[in-house]
Amino acid sequence: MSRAYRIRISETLERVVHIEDGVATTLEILPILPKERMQGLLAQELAAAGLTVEDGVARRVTQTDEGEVTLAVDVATGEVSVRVTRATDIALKTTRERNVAEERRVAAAEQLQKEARAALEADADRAAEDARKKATARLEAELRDARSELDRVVHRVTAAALKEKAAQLGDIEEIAEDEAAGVLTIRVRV
Amino acid sequence: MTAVARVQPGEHDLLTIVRALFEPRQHAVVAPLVRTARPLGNVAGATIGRSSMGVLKDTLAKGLVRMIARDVASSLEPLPRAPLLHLSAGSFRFLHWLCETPLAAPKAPALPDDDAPQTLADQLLIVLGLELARSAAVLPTLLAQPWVQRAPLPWLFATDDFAGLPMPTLSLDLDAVALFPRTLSDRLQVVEREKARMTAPVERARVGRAQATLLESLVPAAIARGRWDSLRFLLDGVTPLLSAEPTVWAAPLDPESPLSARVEARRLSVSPLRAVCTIGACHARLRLVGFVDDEYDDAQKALRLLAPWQDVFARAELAVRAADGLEDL
Repeated sequence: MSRAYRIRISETLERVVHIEDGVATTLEILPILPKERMQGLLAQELAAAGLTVEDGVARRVTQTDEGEVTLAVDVATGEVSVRVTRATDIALKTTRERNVAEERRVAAAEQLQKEARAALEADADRAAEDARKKATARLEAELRDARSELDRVVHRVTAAALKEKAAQLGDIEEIAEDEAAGVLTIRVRV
Repeated sequence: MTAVARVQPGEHDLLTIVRALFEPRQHAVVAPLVRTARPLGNVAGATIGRSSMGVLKDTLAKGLVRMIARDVASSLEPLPRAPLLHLSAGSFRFLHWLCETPLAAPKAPALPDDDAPQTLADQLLIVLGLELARSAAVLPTLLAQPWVQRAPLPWLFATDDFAGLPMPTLSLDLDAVALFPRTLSDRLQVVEREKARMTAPVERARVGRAQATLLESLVPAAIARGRWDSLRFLLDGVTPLLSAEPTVWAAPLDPESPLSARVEARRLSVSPLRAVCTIGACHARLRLVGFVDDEYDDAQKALRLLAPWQDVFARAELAVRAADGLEDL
């Protein structure tokens, strides 16, 4: 008669998961002044909004619990990208036990190890997907904020460009501006 | 009294399937025939009986002409030229295979393909075969056949079915496309509504990508040749949707999926509208052609033809801008 064995297998899994999600769109800027001047005004307003302008790209990086969020605006093309990236360490451990007959000891140990590894892989995939979902939720929130912030930047660029254009046309007599309502009235004597 | 043609039982099955190709209401009746294998006796291309061949040719000729006539009747434009309907040997192989192969089997025998050119009639038969296969739930088997995959017109008729398959280099025949303004516009609307029901970004993007590839080749070719008649299906197809169901292009996607995937799906899903914008941009250029310019007469003719859709161009552009501007995510 064969003896019964209790087999216990411990398996660990360590993995670094890189999560990335992001979107890109383009700012719509009216060509009121020559292209270079419009780009200059855009760079100026983006810097005023707290972005760092370097090599023609205005950028702001924010560290959050869900990852690093980067808002980047290409000043020349007006292309905006909002991206979240995160490298997360996943460390998981599991234990499996089973009672088997002596003659099945080796095969059962292998089987248990395989099952433990598969369970850990599935848990790691779930953990990575959870982290990705959180990062995506953060990205959506950042995108909403970025959209309204960039809308304000575009309005300010347009207003500044209109004032410059008006000054080129004649003497500005009066400027009435209601930024909240998005209304700008310029009276010019030509 | 009319003499009744006598045919073998196997030949009867073949004729029943062929007749059902032209009668969608018969699809349910012949679906079991299409799904299973049947010994067809002497039904092989070369040995089909004379009576059966006569009935087969008559059914195909009348069916194909009726298929075209239905669309032509809805068109106000005269046909640019009468289409030549010639079925090649490949079509008879296709019908024989459709009849004899157990299409529901996990590994159905492949349809032989000799790489011979396909005629308009060959391609229409494939379109009809795909409709029957959809009803009989054996579509993947048909779509897997090289004879089916390399036919350009079926890709336009059933873009959603082909989506995801590697698209060969397709050259759409503008004459052929112009023959089906009504059917193609109806199909486009079906596809757009289907697409809106897809919540997985990857699925919606797949269909949108296939549409984009097809329309990016069709629209510039049609514009370059002044073949506005071959674009009518597109304009007719999107017009009622833009007026009454504009949300088909902004339908919600799985909110838990990556934002990048949702944005891509949203942008690809407006592919038909991007194609309409291309026509709209051409329409705007045509309006600038002056009376003293050489192209004035052609431009005026095109503008008259496009007049019914001039409001559609602006609405399509707004919808495309909404998709590109990351709205309604």
